[in-house]
Amino acid sequence: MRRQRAALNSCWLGAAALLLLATSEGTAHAAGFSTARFGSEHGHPTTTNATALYYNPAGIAESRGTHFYVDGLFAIRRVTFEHERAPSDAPEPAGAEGANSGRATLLNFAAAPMAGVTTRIADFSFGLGAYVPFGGATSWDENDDFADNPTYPGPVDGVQRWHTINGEIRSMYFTLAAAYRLGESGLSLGVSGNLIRSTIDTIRARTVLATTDLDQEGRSQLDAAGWQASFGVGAMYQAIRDTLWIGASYQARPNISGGMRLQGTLRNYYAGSLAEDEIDVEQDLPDIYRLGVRYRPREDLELRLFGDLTRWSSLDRQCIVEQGEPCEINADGSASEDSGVIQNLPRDWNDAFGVRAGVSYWFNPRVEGFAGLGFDSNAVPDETLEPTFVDANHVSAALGARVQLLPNLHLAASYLHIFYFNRDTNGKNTLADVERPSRSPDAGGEYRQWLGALNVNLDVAFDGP
Amino acid sequence: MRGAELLTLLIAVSACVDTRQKLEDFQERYERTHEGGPGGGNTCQPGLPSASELAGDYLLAVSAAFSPKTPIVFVATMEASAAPPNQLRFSLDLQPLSATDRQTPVGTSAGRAETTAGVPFTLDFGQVTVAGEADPILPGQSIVAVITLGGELCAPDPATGSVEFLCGAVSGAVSEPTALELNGSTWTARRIQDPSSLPELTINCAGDPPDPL
Repeated sequence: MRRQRAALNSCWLGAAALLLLATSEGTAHAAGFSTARFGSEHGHPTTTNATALYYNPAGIAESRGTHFYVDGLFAIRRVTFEHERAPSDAPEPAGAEGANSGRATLLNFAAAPMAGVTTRIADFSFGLGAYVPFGGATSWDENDDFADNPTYPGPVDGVQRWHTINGEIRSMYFTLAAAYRLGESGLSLGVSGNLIRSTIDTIRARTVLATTDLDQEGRSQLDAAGWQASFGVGAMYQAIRDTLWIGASYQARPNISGGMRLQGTLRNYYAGSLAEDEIDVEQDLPDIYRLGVRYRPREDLELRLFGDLTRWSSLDRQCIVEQGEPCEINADGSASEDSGVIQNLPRDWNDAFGVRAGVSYWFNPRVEGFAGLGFDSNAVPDETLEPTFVDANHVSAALGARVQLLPNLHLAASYLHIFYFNRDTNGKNTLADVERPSRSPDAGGEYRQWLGALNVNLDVAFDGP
Repeated sequence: MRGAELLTLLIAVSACVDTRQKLEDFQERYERTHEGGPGGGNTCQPGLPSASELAGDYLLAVSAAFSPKTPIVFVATMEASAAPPNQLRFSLDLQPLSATDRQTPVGTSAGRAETTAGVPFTLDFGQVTVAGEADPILPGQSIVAVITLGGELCAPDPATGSVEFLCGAVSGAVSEPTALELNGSTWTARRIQDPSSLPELTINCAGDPPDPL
């Protein structure tokens, strides 16, 4: 039986070396690679804590005084990928059975911080925050059956290596927000501006012809980054004073109308030689609509219901081009003549929605217990699902408590578990059916995943609760 | 680490992402499993032919190490004249052929190189541009590369009285459509006796065939 070796020990050593530096590896997924779970069950479009900077900037108008808020999400994620040989796969040579078919696994730990400060002055409120609403990192286990193989240097990196070996993609937001409470009307309006730092750092196995030929196996490593800007707007209406709130918000795409372009380097290692290209990566992230209701019929009970629509159809591809060149792809996946496309990764994602219901109960004025259930739909179609971005319809459940330690200090902790539906895309994947440079090896297989996350947040208030 | 990340001063435990280390690890494993490298030596009887025995049209294949069985194919026109003592002055002009049939000329000449040499020779083409229709890997994408062909001249075939086959090693690098090194690549040239029936294509001195169309 094949044994898989996790690289956890070296990862812990590496993490210690990252003291004072944030890697912001968000992994608690909504749809696609949305990782906006900061605030736990108190992160939603009718919240008034600093997470409103992202979920609904109008929410900060309902807070009182000045608040410093820090949130940490600590997650463990398990994924398995089982690939059967597809007709387009190159035959495994004698003695290399299992190099390209079989089971691949990962077990990763990750953390994602969020920090924000809000303050209210009369009817105006302002806020500043930093967080990672889009991102993920993966590090797949090695295949011990091919450790120190005398002939084939590639298969030790796992069956999934033709799509990803390890890597991360991240968009970190720096947000400045303002909100205004319209007197006693119950209506608050908010707007935020986001400065976004997006990065991609990945490596995968590749041949020049995009096959799985072990004799031609090389490596393709991509490192790119860029700055973008976007905005958010929101409204919150206190329909019944201190009892019923309705919130709605919109987060625009990075660069608003879309068209992210990251700059960096593509390193290809083929046939014993390393070559570097200065490249651009073209991609798009989604905009998001949110709507929520919060109902507090009594002092000790609150009910919440909220949802979001994330327009992942914006991510139709990730295109690597010569720096400054356009990405022009024909319908069959080939590049327009002399368009400068080096590699094109078809995504063709779908819009996705999420819905969550939550309840809070105060055992006494200082101790709140809360719970939540949610469902998020899948953004990635069978045709382009591959181990870099593993998504599926999923159900989530959370349970936690929030305690007032001091009059102006609240600490909350909760556990979230996400149950992903299994997916079997054998025979459905089309990545190998298109022309180069859009072709990748077939990624059909059985995908299984679960995620558990501990969320801890601290809210320190000044001049008001 | 990029400056943006320094603004968030929190300890983080992460899925270990070190793609450069993974790349270096693979390079080490590759070098360990590929000690010795490909052979580029000639298999004909080395010798200095006459100018008339060398001159003519050849079917020339450049087989890149990163994709050896999908060569770029040319009709190479060899012109030669005597250059005493015991040398030849010769040139090679490369006309690309379509990647879809390996027979139809496409685009203009990719480049020309000239040298004066004895049996061992080097033809430095400098920068060449190959029409996109001749690109077997990224169809439609022009190839820009700096290439040098190295090899040994062969004595004429006694049956035909002319040089029939040449081969050797390619060095240089591709810059477009993407950067790729050509170290370890090979070339072959087989005389075209009948332009309406091109000879069999091989990718190296050992006579290995390319992938079929």
